[in-house]
Amino acid sequence: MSSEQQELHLRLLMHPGYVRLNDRIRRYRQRMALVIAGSYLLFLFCFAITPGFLLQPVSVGNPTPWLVPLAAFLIIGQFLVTGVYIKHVNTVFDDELQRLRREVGY
Amino acid sequence: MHRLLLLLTLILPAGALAAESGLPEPTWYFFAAIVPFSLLLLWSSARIRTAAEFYASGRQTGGLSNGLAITGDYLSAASFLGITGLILISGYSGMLYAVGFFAGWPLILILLADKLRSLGRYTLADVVSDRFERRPVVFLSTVGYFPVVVLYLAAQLVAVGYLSEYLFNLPYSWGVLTVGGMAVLTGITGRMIFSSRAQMIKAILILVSTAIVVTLALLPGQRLPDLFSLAQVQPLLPDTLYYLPGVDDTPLSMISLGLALMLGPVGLPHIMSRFFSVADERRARMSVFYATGFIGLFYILTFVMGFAAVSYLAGTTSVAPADGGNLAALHLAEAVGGAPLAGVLAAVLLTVLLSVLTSLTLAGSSALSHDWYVLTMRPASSYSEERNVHRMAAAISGISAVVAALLFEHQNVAFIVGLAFAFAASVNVPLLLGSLYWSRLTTRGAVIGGWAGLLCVTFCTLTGPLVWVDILGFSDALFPSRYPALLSVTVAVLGMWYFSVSDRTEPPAAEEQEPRP
Repeated sequence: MSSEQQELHLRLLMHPGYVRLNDRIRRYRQRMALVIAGSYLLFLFCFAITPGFLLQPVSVGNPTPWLVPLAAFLIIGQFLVTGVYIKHVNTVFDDELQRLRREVGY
Repeated sequence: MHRLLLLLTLILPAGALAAESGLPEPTWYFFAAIVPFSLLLLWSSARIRTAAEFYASGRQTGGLSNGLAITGDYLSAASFLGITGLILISGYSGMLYAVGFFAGWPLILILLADKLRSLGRYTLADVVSDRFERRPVVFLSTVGYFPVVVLYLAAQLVAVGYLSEYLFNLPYSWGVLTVGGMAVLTGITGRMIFSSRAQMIKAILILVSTAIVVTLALLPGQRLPDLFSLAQVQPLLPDTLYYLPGVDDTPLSMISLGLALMLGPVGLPHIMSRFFSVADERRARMSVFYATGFIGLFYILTFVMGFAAVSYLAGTTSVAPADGGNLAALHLAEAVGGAPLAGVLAAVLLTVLLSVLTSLTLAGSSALSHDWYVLTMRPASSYSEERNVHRMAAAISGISAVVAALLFEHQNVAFIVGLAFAFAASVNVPLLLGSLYWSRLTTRGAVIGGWAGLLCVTFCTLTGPLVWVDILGFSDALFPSRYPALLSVTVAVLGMWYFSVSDRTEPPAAEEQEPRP
């Protein structure tokens, strides 16, 4: 990094907007990780502690136990949450970062 | 590796012919498929020789194709064979593996990928040596990584052993020794980097073959609701939902297993290497999005395949709990598509198994030689010295894996991968997450907590039903469960917490660099 770049870098790091953005990203990331891990752990506890609940058939005519669609929904749901996370980071946070960069003179 | 494949196609049948046992029918289709597969992979990797070229090839690929390549890095034949087999021999509890293996993946993306990228650190050793006293912590992370690599390699070798039994009528130990020996040799001599194209081809091969097996299994008027029904699955399972042959079924054990499955992958940041090779961050994230979709689809298909295996194979002679259910997927393919499908599927699986074997032997030994030896022991060591350590590490981890695979002959491969993840979850995951997300973690806390976790998981595994009863032959296990992660992760986390907060020295400053300007 040249000294000019370093100075820009420092200026960005000290920008109050940057500190706020950093906090927002950290909180967002923790929240999303919690959603993923939490939904899985909920499924896991249910699976381990009250398996009978998950083995009830979905409906009278359909003998599939709840466990199967729930597992599939869990995988699909986590995929969608990942998509929401990526979309959010790629648009909202990235745009904000670009704006801050322009502000400090990148 | 691809030359290895070709070589193998010559050696293994030679052994089978020498044994005068004759070859089963699928084997001829296997030969017909394995030659074009290896040539295809040989062609697709021809241009990649160095790390620089690897990164260059990553920059050229688009989001979707890079996503496929990441999928190829992540998917293993072990989970394909293992999950199908587990559902066949243990019913619904096998599903936990499919859901658990998947749940770790988005967590890697959210908790590690962006953060590591913005710090410019791509391996565990890099991350921890920034914050802590390098020598003890890198030593711990390397020692903790070793059983993970060995067990993961062993799982692939167990699968190879079963495949060689199935295809060539060779004794299990024969396949393990031949292929394990070859993987060690490749690890010793080779510097191999898989091109994105080769990984894409592998991902497509395994996804398409899974989809074909599932489709063919469902075609003959098989109703999905019946496929999953209790009426179909329950009769196989004598008493409980968690029938695992000779295994405990307490809620705590299941939670312990589930915890290891989710956390384990987080301890293996190198599986994200292709994410780091894409220059444009937005595109890198998009490629992970595609990869998540493919991986999710794969795990949904594997558990459907497991239930299809129950429906087609239950009550037939191919259900033998002694083989851990490891061949269920192949027997299912044979039942729904005949010898051609089984042969081609075996070729796909062997290709994927060998690539994981060689790349993991290399990754594991470079962790030992580079991270530990160069970073902590002899920073000024020459390239040839490092190479020697690298070779020795490849030999040690390969040979240990072969020994482990011989001992684990009757275990299910997904279970062995789960055990590898229990080790990762007990040492390297708390270390990695602690150093990234907890600013008060000190060297003392990291080292004592990490060692406590490692000793705990090792002790519980050795005295648990797997080693104590199945391998050593004692009648009662000292530690009651096959799944030690719940206890060992708790020990590691509490150790790290207590010995950090009681540490009088100033905690090292966490790096604050994010988002990368």
